[in-house]
Amino acid sequence: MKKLFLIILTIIMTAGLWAQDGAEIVHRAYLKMEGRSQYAQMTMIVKRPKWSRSVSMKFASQGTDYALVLITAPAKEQGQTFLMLKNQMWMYNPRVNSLIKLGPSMMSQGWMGSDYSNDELLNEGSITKDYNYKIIGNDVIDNRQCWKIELTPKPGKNIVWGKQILWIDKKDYLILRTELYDEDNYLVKTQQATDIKNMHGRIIPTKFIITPEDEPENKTILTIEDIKFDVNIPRSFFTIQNMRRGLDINFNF
Amino acid sequence: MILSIAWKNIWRSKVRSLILIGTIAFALAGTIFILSMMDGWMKDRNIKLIETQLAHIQLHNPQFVNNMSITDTIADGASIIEEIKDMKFTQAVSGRIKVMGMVSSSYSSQGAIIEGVNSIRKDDVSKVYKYLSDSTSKWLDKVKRNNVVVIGRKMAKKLQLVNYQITDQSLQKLKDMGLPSDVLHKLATVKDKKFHTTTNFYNTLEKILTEKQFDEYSDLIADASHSYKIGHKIILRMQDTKGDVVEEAFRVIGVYNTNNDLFDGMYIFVKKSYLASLLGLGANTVNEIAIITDNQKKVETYKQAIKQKFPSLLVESIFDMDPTMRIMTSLVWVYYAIFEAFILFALSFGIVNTMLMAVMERTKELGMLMAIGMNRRRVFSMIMNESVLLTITGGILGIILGYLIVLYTGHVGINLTKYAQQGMEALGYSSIIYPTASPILLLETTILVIFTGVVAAIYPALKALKLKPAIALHTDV
Repeated sequence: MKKLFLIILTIIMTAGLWAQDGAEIVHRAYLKMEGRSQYAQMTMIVKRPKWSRSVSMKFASQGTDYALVLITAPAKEQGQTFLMLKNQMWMYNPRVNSLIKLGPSMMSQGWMGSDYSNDELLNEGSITKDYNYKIIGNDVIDNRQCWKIELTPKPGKNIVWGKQILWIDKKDYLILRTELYDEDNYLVKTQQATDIKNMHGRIIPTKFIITPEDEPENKTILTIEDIKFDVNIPRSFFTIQNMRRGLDINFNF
Repeated sequence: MILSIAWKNIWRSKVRSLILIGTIAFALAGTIFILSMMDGWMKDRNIKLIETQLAHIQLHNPQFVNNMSITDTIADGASIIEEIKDMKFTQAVSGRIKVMGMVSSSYSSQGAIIEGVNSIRKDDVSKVYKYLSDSTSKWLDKVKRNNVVVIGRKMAKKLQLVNYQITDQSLQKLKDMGLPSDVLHKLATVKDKKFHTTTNFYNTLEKILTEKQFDEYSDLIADASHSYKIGHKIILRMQDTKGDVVEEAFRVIGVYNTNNDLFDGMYIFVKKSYLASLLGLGANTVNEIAIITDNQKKVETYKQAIKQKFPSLLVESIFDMDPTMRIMTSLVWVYYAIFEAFILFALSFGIVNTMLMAVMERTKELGMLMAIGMNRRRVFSMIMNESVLLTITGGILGIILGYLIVLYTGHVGINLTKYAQQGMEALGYSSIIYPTASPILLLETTILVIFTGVVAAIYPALKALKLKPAIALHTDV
């Protein structure tokens, strides 16, 4: 009797698991880090063999179309703001009071000298739409059970990767590791997510490390100090008038 | 009469004359060779510049040159091109679309100038297809699909679209280039291993070679063992006429190499019609019209003719676009002359010396000639003739020798890759030089040689004139 119960339980559980396909898992994991709107405070450290620099910022976004970033440290760049509206981007520098619209030529350069490109910051949404998804196995990262899911771009999509492999935590749907491959299936870079914390009710990783495969000593480390999802941000927040206020921008949501 | 005496006099002291003739011949051959080398070098750059970028004359919307905005087009481009085609000096004319954009591969993103050209190659002024790097590369006209792109060698490196593998062939190639066997042995340890990024390959080289070897040979090794990732996908991103960002995936079908890092690292080529549709431009719209004329020397005249016909457009000749070109074509003879004048000035000391010796040791003889009634003018012209004949003989031999060297090296090329590839290609010059002997150079050399012979003989001849027959006769040498 006890055995039968176990078997039934197993069947139910696995059936539950089978019911979820890769696309759904990725979508749920993506939603974990996404809200209708969000506010965050974070620090990015760019490490290179001969130097390293750290940038702190406050960030607010609404959907995928509106975002505003304020640099709070280092002192040299303090007060600089970036505004993203749809797929356009502006930069404001309070010191010289200059507002620049970033052309496409500047969009794909590494953002603030990091391994993130401006383009990646704007196009993140495509991870839930432009790929075919396949669960290729299970794995354990930091004592957490994970699905390994392979993402291959749908034909005709503008994606530079040959494939991506995501490690998604089974319990909390967290993307703990991402491997990005080129078209010949060589690993290009790896993103790791660690330091899982409860942030205002959401359990999420708060530290992200990007390591290029060829230059392991070049790292970008992003630490989230505070993050709130689904906050009410007025539309007037994402305007050029507001970005010009620099350090006086009100991030209290 | 005087001439034949002078000629005989030269050969009375064979060794001395031969030494002088040899000096002149070798100095001139060297000068001609060096100048031809520079000439060939510059010509190579100019031809490439004309074929790949500038053509002879370009037309733009006057606003375009300021910031290359895609909205500053030549709207009725097609009809203007037809009109220019009918002008009698036009050899080829084509419209292009040029736009600044971004190219991304899995590894990196780079700024680029995306150039839309006619997909039929014979219709186009641009001859970049002549510089495709190897047999795996194709030009746009060989492929039916639209979203294809040809990029430069430097761009391929920047986007990490190069594979490296050291094979027996590449080892042989490096051996032929004269790399030390020590280096070759070290390379053999990683033979047949595949490297899929430039960074990875160079890191490995840095590990197995000494620092000095790495500095000296790494680029050569990379060049001998690379292959391009033809068929790979890259994403092009640019602003369309409405100011929105458009992006599209393209396949790399070819890699070109004009040995000019600035160009190869910046310009990528796509089909014009497809680029126009991506940008939202009309089928007849272009933003650059490039013209090749029948005579490069007359471009300024042609430019004026075109300017009168299309006053609203900005018309620029190759000399406006690349001022160094003007210097090279119109002032090059001055440059030759200065260079040669220095060499011949140095040589003239040798000639003066030899002729002075000839006069001194023949004091008695000259006195005798004067005593039996040879007048001063004849003595003077005899010495002059000797000097000029000597110089001309050396000069002609030098020109022939120099010309032969130039012909030979111009045929096989002078490969400086081993010594200075990076530096020169960064400046836009090829590291393989094909010297060319220009007729101006040979003509100039001949005139200058005769001039030198005459000038250098004046002092010794005057010395001869001052001899008093009575005293000269009694001199013992």
